[in-house]
Amino acid sequence: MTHIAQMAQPDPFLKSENLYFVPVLRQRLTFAALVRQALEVLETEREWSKAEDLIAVALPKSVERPLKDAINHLNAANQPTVSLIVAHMPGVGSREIFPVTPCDAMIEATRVACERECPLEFIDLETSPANILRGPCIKDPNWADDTLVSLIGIRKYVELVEPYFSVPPARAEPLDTWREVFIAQRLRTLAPLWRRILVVCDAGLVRSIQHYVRQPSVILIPQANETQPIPWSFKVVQQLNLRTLLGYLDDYPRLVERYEDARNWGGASAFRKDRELMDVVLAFAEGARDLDLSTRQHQAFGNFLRNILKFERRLCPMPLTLYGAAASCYGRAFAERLYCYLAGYQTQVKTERISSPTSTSVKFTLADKPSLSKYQTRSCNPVPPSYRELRVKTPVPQEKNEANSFLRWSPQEEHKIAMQSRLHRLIKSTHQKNKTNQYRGSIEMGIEVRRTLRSRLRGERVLYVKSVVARRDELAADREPILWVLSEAFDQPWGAQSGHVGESTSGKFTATRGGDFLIGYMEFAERDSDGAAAHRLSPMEDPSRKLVYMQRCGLLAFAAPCRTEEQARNIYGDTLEFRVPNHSHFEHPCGCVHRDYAALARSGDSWIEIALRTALKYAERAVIVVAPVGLSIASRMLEIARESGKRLINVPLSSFSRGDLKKLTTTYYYKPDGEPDAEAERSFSIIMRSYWD
Amino acid sequence: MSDFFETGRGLRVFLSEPSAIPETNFVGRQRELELCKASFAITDSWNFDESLSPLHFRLEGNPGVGKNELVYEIARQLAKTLGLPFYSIQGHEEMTPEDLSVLVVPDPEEEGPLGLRLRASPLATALYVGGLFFFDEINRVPERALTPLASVLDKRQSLYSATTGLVIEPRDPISKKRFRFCCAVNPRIGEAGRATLPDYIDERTLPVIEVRPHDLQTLREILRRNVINDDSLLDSFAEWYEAEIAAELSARQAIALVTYAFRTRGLEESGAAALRRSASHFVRAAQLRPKGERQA
Repeated sequence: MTHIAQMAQPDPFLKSENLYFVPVLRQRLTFAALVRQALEVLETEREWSKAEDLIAVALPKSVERPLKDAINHLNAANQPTVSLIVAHMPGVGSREIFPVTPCDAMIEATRVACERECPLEFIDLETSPANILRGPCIKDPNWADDTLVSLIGIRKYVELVEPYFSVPPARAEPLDTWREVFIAQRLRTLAPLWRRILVVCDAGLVRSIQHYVRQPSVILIPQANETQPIPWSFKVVQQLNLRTLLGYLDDYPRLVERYEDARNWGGASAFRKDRELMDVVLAFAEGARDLDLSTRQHQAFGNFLRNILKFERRLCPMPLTLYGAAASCYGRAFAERLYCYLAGYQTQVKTERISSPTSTSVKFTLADKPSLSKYQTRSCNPVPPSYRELRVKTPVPQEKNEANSFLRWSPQEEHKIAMQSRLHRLIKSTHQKNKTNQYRGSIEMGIEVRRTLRSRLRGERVLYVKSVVARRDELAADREPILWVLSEAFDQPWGAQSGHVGESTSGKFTATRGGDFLIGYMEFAERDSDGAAAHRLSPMEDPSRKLVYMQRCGLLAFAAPCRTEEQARNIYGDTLEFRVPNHSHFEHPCGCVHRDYAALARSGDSWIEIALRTALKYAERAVIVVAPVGLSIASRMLEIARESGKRLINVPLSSFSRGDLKKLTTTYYYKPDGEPDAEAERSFSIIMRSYWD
Repeated sequence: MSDFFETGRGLRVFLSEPSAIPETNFVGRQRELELCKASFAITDSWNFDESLSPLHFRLEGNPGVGKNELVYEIARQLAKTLGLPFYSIQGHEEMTPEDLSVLVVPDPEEEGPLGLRLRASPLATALYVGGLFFFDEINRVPERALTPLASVLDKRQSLYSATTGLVIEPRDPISKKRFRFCCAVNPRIGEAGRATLPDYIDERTLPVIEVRPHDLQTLREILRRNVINDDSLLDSFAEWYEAEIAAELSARQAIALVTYAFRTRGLEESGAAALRRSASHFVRAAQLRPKGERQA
């Protein structure tokens, strides 16, 4: 590919004297940009003149007025929406569809002509609306990626795809021959009248049209009398069903939106789908600070995608390939956000990830209820839409707890409880200790080879075996406090946020006397250099800008994984008040702190030490500390623990997977400021879905 | 190929023997195979594309879904086209860093009071000769044992042995280009909160290629090729599968079930009856959830 990139940029059109053909595939973004490139190239030779140059579009004349009306509406709208012009034969019921979408080359050509007030001709054959049912005609996995046009040029691309257009179902006879002859006839009539004609026509017809234009012996088709009224009528439909809509938004609807933005600032001709897509992925990756993606992940993704694309002989990946590569290298949480973002379009198509029985899928929602169920079009989209609408029963997420000003989705809390449960199982299974003993008649757990070899080297010739010693006491680890040290921000001052017992799950606990409630956990947030703990998500992930996330540097869990206060009472019985703290005993000099340690918090002692003291106060026999390897607990803390008759059990943080720790470290909030925001809740649900897996 | 190499100090390091590649019929998994080939920069004709950078991919999937079979298929094809040797190692909780680098092992053939020789691990051998290395169940291995892997999986492509002080590197530039590493993870181990990959290995073994259970059609073909080419029994299996179990049966479980049903079938017993009888044992033993329970 390298040597191709170094060649001169090929012409974006096929030239036949003063006819500049731009062969296009319908509703493909690359070709909309190609029309702009063709105009730009022609304008560099000579400025486009309203008196001498013409744009000719292979659409029937009768559709010109309704199309221009629809395009005026498209241009005027802040958010251009896809619509259809339906040609309808009264009393017969047959219809033909003309999509109006920004990613269509013919629409682009018409829009440019309207915007610049340039001469425009519609040169296709008038045919009465008929049931020309053309579904996606190309399902060949070897169909050439249309992005290749920007690399190899339109001439070579047409050569690649021509064989498909010479046979059914892409070719419909005799209609296509009639159209080719008619268009050629029109061009032969127009060519002498204009200096240059930019002809935008279907790629499958262009060769024949060029041939017929050069052949004077072709039988002319009598032209229809332009004053004779046509027996069919047109209407514009703006409420489309999902399948139809997605068929007219290329592979990535969001890129169609970005093309529209590029049009507005004059960058349409330079728009390249593959580069734009990678820009989006990069921007998304940079914006996903809460996921803390690494350089190695970026490198792996870039290399993996490049290898796959070379394998598939494509420049631009298909959505599922992109999703798979992103999930493989960045993880599913990022891949799903990216996929949902790319599959949406303006306000017309919104997306939401759902879990189906067999795989993850994206659920689409339409802004408007559709009013059109079937369609036929004379020019088929050669590549079927990549997205499929699934009808599956989606599990209803657990209710949000609305008693708190922070709306916390259950999945985050369920994950926290699951991590605690795993920790308890881990502690139970590691209460055995490995030892090495001299052989006394039993091989026990096997020969300890290294120690035996070392003894031979020393000349002792002693056989050593491995044995396991069970600990005498079994700790009820599931009822002891757990301190998670999630980052190495050990010196952060105290600033804790307390959480109610059972507040976030289906069992609600209502606070009484203002501040009297059982504290299930306390969390400590990392603060940046400005002292801020909460950070907003990127605009791409959260257009509402109401979602925030925090990175916990620590989490102190008191209660056993229970969902209600009643459960807590059942577990702890009469010792509840000694085992689970009550918020009424806490002061708030800087976040929640037990009154016994408020002075330490005021004097700026580190959060770890205050948290450990608090945990030891409510522990029965031990405090479990899950921390990075290398964390050394201050000797005075060990002394305090010893004096109280309690111990500290260390569990390395590396016992848990990176993904699980990430979910525990990053906590998301949606804080409504008045009326519920559907956009914010939708964005929040996309983020929370990753917790369901 | 010589079975040892000599270091600059004149030490002999004996190489491991390549692993035998099972001769099995590879069925299905075409998409996963394509992704593995893309990761390894393998062309359609099973050669290496030197213009692309190879990656050290990681297969994730429950036991019995075909992770090893994928690797064996790659190994088979590369052995045919490139003569690439295949090495593999099974991860376990008792592994040490020496198991991955160079081991000091007894050698009764050596003269002297203490017969010892240096033996390169399968990983070190694959790195040295430029072979394909597969690390199965890598997440069972304790973190400290994986530390030598870090330098293998980045641009250094070298392996340090603390016991012997040796640094193992590819013997020539061709071996350096041909070396390929992949690993497999059983995520169910990780769910217990133990034996997860450390960050620096997790990031070096990207991309992650997920291997899900087979669909019914592929399962049926696997059974037909590996167990019995009996349509009535396979039809019975398909009926039972669709009625009772969905999306949880691994290929290994299916092979065991159908093999057992076929071998224990009574003279008067139909294939369907034998399968249902056998299935009741397997559902309990394998802790599969019947479809009715899953939908409740």
